Amino acid sequence: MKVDERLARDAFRPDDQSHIAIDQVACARCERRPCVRVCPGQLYALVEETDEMRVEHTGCLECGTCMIVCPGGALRWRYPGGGAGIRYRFG
Amino acid sequence: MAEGDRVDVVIVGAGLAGLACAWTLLGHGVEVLVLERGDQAGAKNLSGGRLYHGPLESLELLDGAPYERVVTRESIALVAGGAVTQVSFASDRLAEPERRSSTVLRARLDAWLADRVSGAGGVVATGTLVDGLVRDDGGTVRGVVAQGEEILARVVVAADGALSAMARHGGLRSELEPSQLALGIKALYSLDAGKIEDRFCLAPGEGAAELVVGEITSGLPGGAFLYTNRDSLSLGVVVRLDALASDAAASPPDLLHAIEQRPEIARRIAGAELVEYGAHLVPEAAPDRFGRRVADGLVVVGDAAGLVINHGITVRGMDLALVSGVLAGQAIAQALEQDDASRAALSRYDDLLRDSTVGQDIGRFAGSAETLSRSWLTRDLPAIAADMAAELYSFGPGPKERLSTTAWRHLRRRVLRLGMLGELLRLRRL
Repeated sequence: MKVDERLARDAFRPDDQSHIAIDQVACARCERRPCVRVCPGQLYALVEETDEMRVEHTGCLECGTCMIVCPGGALRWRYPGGGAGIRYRFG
Repeated sequence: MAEGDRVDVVIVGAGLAGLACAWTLLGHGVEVLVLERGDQAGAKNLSGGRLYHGPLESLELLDGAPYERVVTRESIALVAGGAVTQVSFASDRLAEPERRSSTVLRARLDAWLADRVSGAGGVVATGTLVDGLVRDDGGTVRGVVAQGEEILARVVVAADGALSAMARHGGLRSELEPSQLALGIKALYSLDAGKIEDRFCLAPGEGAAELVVGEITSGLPGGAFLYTNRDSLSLGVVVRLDALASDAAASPPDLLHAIEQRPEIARRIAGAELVEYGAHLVPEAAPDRFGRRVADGLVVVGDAAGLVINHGITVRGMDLALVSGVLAGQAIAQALEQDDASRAALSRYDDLLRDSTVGQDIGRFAGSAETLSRSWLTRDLPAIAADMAAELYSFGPGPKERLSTTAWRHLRRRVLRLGMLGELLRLRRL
């Protein structure tokens, strides 16, 4: 099963603004880009034309893994606003 | 007991640690405000999950709590190639009140506990994100900022989980490193209770807990778990974050996908419907290296304090969260009675924790996570076990050796050799 099919089973209440901000300059200095691979929702993707990192914040499971593994401190990560984001029905 | 706009205690996070702390404080007549960012308690919480009841003694908060199944069947399997070497234990003795463990689903359990705390007079404000701490010039914590508003309190309890922004703001720990954490991802499969009982050989209400290590994590330190809930299965994998962050590692969804394809797992989840997918970080470093637990006006409990012990064949965190919440509540109540919320007064919590049975376990097993991260356990041991078992259980063209000779030959060649002895000695830490 693809990860977006898994995420489609989850309940989310979208936040108006992204809780993850990417510093593109710091991100561009990183060659490994571990965020792309380790994100459990596979929400990070490099836009080839512009070489910019993008994150699909609405599917975020709020685990914080990307922030911890980011070697260049390129992610400003906070929780979504109160009541927004992932809503585990089982947990 | 409130003075002006100040509440006695603000608790950040309505998880097990925060709610146990709130319950204990209410029992001492202390006013509590629990702030929870989810739109209900448990909405942001994810555990494996099973709860060990033994260390909780008789925590009244849990009376009648919605557990899934009492675990009466345990197993751990080492997988290598197509081979599975498994040790299992099934016994009513696992269901004895003193040593029982239950599978739980946090969204249900935490919401139920929050209702109990509300019923006892506590205020649980959901949908409320705490932005940071209010600190005076001397650095003493005087409250929190929630959604742009200051809420003053005599004591703040950081029960905000493994990432704990509160512990960091309070200066009790530095930024977390990948080596201090493991990533857990979990798929919840809905399956009829009768089918669960058939597939796992269970009586109604009884549960199974299966761990799988070895190739199942592509050799990464960690393991997979499969727990039975009332009418669902929790299938997940927990892997150390430093190993996962290395370039050669598979992505977490690929790991989970590969696990689901393995025959021993596929048969268990056949026909079951995926109803939820989640991810959560788990403290992995020894709690005492995770950070300090007490500052002036601030106390850290549960995952936020790194209170998880990995024993290898069992992993526990929820019982530690509940116990730490209770002990923090007792210490805070006493400190407030003396009108002293200084670090010195609140450090009674640290003393109570250290002297408690879980505190002794924390000290004793401080090195276990390191021991379990040794790659031979997940890479070599499953293959050694499989090679030995294949000979023990079969008859080749030549004469049969005594069982002890076969076993000794494998141990001598592959385990009792230089380089491996140090690894074996490390196992004493478990």
